[in-house]
Amino acid sequence: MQQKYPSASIQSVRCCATDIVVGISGGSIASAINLAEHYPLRDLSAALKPFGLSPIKPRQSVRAKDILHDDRLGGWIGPWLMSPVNAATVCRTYGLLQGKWGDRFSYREYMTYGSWWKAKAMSIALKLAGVMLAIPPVRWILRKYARASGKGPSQEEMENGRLVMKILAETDDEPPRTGSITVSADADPAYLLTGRSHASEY
Amino acid sequence: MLVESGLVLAKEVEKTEAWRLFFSNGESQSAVLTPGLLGEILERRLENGGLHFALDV
Repeated sequence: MQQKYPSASIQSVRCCATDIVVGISGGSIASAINLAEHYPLRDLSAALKPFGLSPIKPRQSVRAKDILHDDRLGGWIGPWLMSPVNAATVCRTYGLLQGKWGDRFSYREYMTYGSWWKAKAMSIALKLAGVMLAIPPVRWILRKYARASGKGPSQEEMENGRLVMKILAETDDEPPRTGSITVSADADPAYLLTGRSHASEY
Repeated sequence: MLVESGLVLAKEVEKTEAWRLFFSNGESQSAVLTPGLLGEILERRLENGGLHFALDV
């Protein structure tokens, strides 16, 4: 967008999973357990703030809402499992690039839920899950009963996976100019497509 | 994306923005990078795996 509108700054970027079916591996579960086991909740929470890993912060960034309605993204949208990690990563890119997207940049990641209630319920569930992981007996139960490291979704699950993510960026002009990127996959993007990507070079 | 990023870093790091920013001066240093700094090289690798990007500006 900055190539097309050189004078504009990017004010808001919303990334939303409008359709996603993806498996989770035992390794990912183990990573979450290990993080909760080795780092205090307060440190993890600070690192997962949008600019918690960025060397700089935008001067005038406004924190985007947790839950909102956006017809372009399928209606009611709210946080999903990867929102904090992905937002902190994107905002670190902003910082490493010395804030090239402007002084009012904000980034937030969402999923389409269809109703405010579902979005709110997921928002509460995700916060609770983070706190629960800090409780040792909960981690013990997860280690015992959740998918173990080295295990992952079945071939059938991966072939039935899919992903549509829409990324909307708005400039700080009045009215704002908008650009979008749609990212899509017709199989599990986390594992099957990673394998195909790896295999494609040989 | 972690795996794809690792492959880019291992094989094509000199074509990335990360290289220009952190490593092109030949000095040894460590940096915590993000996939965004790997740019089009990473995008191409993801597309080879079956992820499609459609830009509308």
